[in-house]
Parts: sequence; C-alpha cells; structure tokens
Amino acid sequence: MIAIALLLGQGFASPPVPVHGDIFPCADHRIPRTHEGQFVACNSAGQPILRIDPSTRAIMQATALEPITPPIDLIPPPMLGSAPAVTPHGVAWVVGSRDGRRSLWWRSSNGAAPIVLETGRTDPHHPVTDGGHIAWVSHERITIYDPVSATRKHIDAETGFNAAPAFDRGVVCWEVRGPADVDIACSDGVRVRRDDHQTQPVLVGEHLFFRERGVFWVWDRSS
Amino acid sequence: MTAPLIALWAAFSMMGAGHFISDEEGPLAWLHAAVAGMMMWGLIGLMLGVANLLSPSVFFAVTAVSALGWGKATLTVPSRWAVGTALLVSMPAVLDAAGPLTGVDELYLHGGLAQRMSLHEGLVGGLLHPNGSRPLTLQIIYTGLWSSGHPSSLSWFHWLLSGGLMVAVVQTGSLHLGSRVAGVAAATLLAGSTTIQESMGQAASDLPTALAVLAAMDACNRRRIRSGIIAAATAMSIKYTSAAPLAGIFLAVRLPIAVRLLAAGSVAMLISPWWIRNSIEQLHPLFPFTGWPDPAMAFQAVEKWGAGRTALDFIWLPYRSIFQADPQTYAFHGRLHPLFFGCLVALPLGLRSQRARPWAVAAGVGCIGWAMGPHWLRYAIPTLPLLALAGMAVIEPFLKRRIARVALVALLFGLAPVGLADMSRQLEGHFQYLIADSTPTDEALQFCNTHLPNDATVALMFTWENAALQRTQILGSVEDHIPSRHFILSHPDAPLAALRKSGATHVLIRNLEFRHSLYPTLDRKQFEAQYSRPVGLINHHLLMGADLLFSSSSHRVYRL
Repeated sequence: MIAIALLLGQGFASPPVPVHGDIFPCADHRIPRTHEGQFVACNSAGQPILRIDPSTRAIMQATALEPITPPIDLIPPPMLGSAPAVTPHGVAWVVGSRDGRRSLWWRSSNGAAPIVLETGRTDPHHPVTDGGHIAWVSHERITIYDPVSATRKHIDAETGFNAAPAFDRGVVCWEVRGPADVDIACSDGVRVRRDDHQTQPVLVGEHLFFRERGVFWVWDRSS
Repeated sequence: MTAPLIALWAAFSMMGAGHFISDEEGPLAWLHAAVAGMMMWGLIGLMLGVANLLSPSVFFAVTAVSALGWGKATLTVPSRWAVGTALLVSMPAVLDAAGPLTGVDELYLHGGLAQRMSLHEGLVGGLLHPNGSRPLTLQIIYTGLWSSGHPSSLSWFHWLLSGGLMVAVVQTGSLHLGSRVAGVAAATLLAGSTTIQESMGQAASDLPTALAVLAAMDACNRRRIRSGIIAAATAMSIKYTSAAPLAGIFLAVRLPIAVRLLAAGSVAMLISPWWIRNSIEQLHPLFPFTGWPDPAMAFQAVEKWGAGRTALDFIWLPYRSIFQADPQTYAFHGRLHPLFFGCLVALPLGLRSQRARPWAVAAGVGCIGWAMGPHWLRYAIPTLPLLALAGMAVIEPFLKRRIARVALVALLFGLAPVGLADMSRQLEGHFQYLIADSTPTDEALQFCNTHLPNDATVALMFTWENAALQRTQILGSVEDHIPSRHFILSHPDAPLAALRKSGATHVLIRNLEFRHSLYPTLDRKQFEAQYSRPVGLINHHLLMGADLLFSSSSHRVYRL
C-alpha cells in the first residue's frame, strides 16, 4: 500500500478527490482549515461560511463563523496568530519575542508553573496535538513530545515554512518542498506528490486532507 | 491638543517664509504668503532631503527661521465673513483631523512617505519607493510634521490649508466678482460636496493644490505674473492634476504670448529641481507617472474608473459625474453638490461676460483636463473652486435681487443632503476612531509592529498601509499596485533573491486577486501577463522560499 501511495497522482488506485463540489478558493489564505472537528471552506463568492463534516463530507452549515482561535489565558501570552495545542495533560503554545525568535512553552494541567519546551534558537513553532502527544516544528525536524513521560522523539523534516503539520493517532504529515512545488510527506512513509502545490495537511483517521489550488482535497489512505 | 498646535506653528512659520519672498499686498496677500512658503519649504526640504538632514531638529530650525519672515510687515487679516464661513464649513472635518490617520491616501502616500522619509531622515525614491520620486513639496512638510511624533498634525495642517481655501474663495468672490454673497455661496457649494468634506480632515494634497491654483488665478487675473508663476509652480509641485486648470488660467487671462511663454518657462524652472533629481537617479523626469523601465507598464488604467470612455460616455459625463456618482463605489469615488451641474451648464454663458470669462475658461479647461484622466472626483478638486466661482460669476448680476439670493440659498442648502451623501456614515466613523484614538488595524500590521525585529526591512506587496507599519520598508502600493507588479515581473525567476538584495528581510503581502472585468481594454492574455501572473509568481516563490510567520484574513507576513 505504501509503495502505491508513494506514486500517488501517478496511477494511484484511489486518487484524491475534491472534498466537495461546492467549495471554492478563498481570499483568506488560512482557509480551508479545520475548526472544532469540521472543515471551514468558502462558497462561490469566496466567503468562508461553509462547514463540512470530514466523515460524510456533507455541508453542515452555511453561516458566519466564530473567530478562529478562542482566546486562552496563557502567561506569557501566545504569539499573535499562533494556535495553542491543547491536550488533557496541558497546553503548548508559541511565544514571540522582539528579536523575531519564537519559543515553545508548556503549561501542565497539574497546575505547575509554565516551562519552556524549546528555546528560540531552533525557532520552534506550529504546535499540534493528536489528543495525547504534542508535535511541533523546529529547525530541520519535527519533535513529538509525550507529556506523561516527558520523552521526545524526533523526525527529520524540513518543514514549518507554511502550515502546521497534521498529527493524528501517532502519524504526522507535513509539507515538504520538492524541486518544483510543495508536496506532503508522512511519518508512515506516505508521500502525496502531484502537480502544483499540496499544502495544509489534515489527518482524520485514514483520511488525509490537503489544499490544492485553493480547495480541499481528500485521499482515503485505507483504499 | 499638541497636534493642532504643531500644525498651527508650521502653517504660521511657513507663511512667514512665504511672506518674506512675496511682494503681494492687500486682502489676499496671506494666500500668496502661504503658497510661496509652501514652495520655498519644498525646495529647502529637497536640499535637506538630498543631504539626509530631514531630522526633527532641522525641521524645527527651519520653522523658527521661517517665522522671522513675519518681521517684514503685517498682513491684512481676512474679513470676518470669510473666516466665519470657512470655520463653519470646515468644522465637520475636525472630527477626522483630530483622529488617527485612516484614509487610504494618507496611509500609503502622505503619511506613508512622511514615515519613510522621517525614518531615513532623507528622500526616498526610485523603483523601491516609487511614490517618493514625484515632486514632494507637500510631503516634505508632512515629513517634518511626522517627525514631531504626532501623526495627526499632518491632517490638522491639511485642515488649516483647506480652511484657508474656503477663506480665499469667499475673498475672491468679493475681490474678483464684486460680490461677497457670490464668494460665500461658492464656498458653501464646495463644502456641500462629499468629495470636499471627506478630503478636508485628511492629510491629502488635492485641496492644497486647489489653494495654489486659486492663488495663481487671483494673481494672473490681476496681472501679477510673478505671484502667478510662484503659485502655479507650487500647485504643480504638489500635484500634476493642477496642470489643466493652470493651463486654463494662463489661457484665460489676456497676456502677451511672450509673457505666457516666459511664465510657462519659469514655472517649469521652479519645478525642475524635482525632475533633475529623477534624472540624476536615472529615472524619467515624470516618474512614477510614466517612464517605468522594462517591463513597461502604464501607471494608471484610466478606463477602470468613471462610466465609460466612448464619445457618448463623454457627452454624458457631466451629468453622470454629478448625478450618478456614489461615494461608496469606485466609479467616481465621491459626490458633488448638484449645483455644480448648474455651474457646468453656465460656463458657456460666462464667455459672454468680461468678468466671468477668465473663470469660465479656466474652469472649462480644468474640466476637460479632468475628463481626460481617471474620472475620480477628487482629481477635479483643483478645478472645483474655479468652477464654483465661474458659476457664481455668471449669476452674480442676478444676486442683487433678494429673491435670487433666497433662491440660491434654498438650492444650496436644499440640495446639500444630495451633495453630502455618505457624510453621516463617514462622520460617525471618524467619531468612533476619535473616541477610540485608534483604527482597527489589520492583525498582520500588529504582528509586524510587535514581533518583527526592530532592524527588519519589510517589503510591502499589494498593500497600502505604509504609515501603520513601524519598520523600515520598501515597495508599497500606488495605482493598481504597480510597484509590486513591476518588481515581480522584473525578477520573475528569483523575486525573493531580488528582494533580499534590495535589503528586505520580511514581506507583508495582501491576499489579492485582480478582476479582469475591471480592465476592459485588456484582452485575457494581456490581463494575465500584467495582473494575474505577478500575484501567482510571488505566491509561488514565497511558498517555495520563505517562511510564513503570520496570516490574517487579508494579509500574510513572511520571513525571507
């Protein structure tokens, strides 16, 4: 299966398909994206008012959306525009500094004082969670952090230049720059390599969603 | 309270400098002092800018020395009628002037350039700062005001000049048309237009240009050629849109051909330091309005504005520009008092009266010049006082009758709500900004101002908000984003390397998609090549070679 997946777009058995026929490119480059377990996408007018169920891929709602990141009371405050990764064990977030460097902070849910998980030297950013672990991007690698054992695992990856990696059930997928465009690589060996840029990966179980030419595509990894 | 005092001090000392070199006397001597002072400060600022001496202390020294010009003799104070009318019609704009800079032009051009030159303590220009390569008489003064640390002093200074224009219009009515009522009515007509009201409280250039044009008209009509030359040169060195009404003025006033040629040559000579500066920097003298190096580009897509450019469209233009203009759309981008249509209709009648003829000719030529350009109503501002006064000159003989005066007042005030369409919404917005003392700045700008290193140099692509960005910057926008489009198409294979070579460390880019429907004269291929391609190219290269640091709904910030 992995061997076939590596050839995705070049005769793959079940190629990716657009998530929904009524999704159009957005002026807002952050969209399409996930929000509260659903996909936010744009209508034909480019307005980000569609919500799509990732499993059924049906349009659930067509109304105005709430702000993207709910404010969380964190000290030091998160860097503007960064999304914290919230787990039952605690929360990880990015803190910016005046010199343009970013550092990654962790506040355990046991009430302990916040600590720095990684300093600004490696420019850590884009923390994400699969519900238990935390993953983030720093210089030429992705770090997966187990908050229970406080252990870390590293994956060599030059990413984090555009969107956060996807992280679900221990599998990480991330954007990677190829010779001509951006593709998506995953920690289980899968690589989405097609014409044009594939960006903003989102993993939901066996489904890998990504953005291509402004709209969301989905690939069923189990097929 | 500091900002208006700084603006008042600047206006006072600028007039001192002008008063020193002006030989004008009489009721409008103050006008010529202001205009001459502006030109003098522009030329001094050019020299200081070349020497990188545009610092706050030097600006203060210039104002102090200039104020000494008041020692020459006192000026005649304008009449209470003139001052009272001006205060009354300018009062709503105080809400805008007192608040933060919010207008697109004051953010990207007037405040934006002042911010850049203040930061550099010198002139900026060339392909990385195209807006800085135009004549900067007014922006040099704005730079000095900006360096005071009170950005709203720019809009206050402009408000003072706008009020001055209204005073001058009333006085001109008395002096040239022999009717104070005509002057007051002309000022009221101007102030009953959204286009004028929305400009008054901003840091802008159209009304100061109109002030200088009116001074040129006053001087030439009295055969005061020296003052006319100074005023015309000042107007042209603020904004080239004054060319048409100025041409009309020199055409309208009976002067020997040799004197006209001498005047034209003298005006050109006074503006020439700006052209010479461009030439030294290997730019076209009229850059950025023309002379873009390969890939050659048109500065403005004039067909994008107005209501068409066929022969029939031009016939309908006077009607449409007044009765179909909507301040909330980009077609004419403003609204004029409906009585301006009456002024246009009255222009041919003005040719029959010796007193009205110069005004009718000057206004007529100004209107024709405006029609040749993009049909934005604010580009007509330099001509509008002439047009209003021309209209009043035609009806002035009737104004001796009480019934005519009552009818005029009824029309001026009765139709004002039409001319002031959208003003209540704008005033409400200005009031909210004033109370909050801030504007809803885009989050991407907040991010830049908070998180980028202090020594960062930001390349602004397809975005207007230069003045709100507190970092060194290059590029930025003007007319259809030509600086960004030209830069990208000049370096299509490696735009990021070119940006780095130009000193940029970061990019602030607006999410943008050009619409072909707005460029009807371009076929699909031309449109793709000139508009869509640069956006696609830079987005591709940023994705492939830069780090996205922040994304708001409208902008993105990249590290190069």
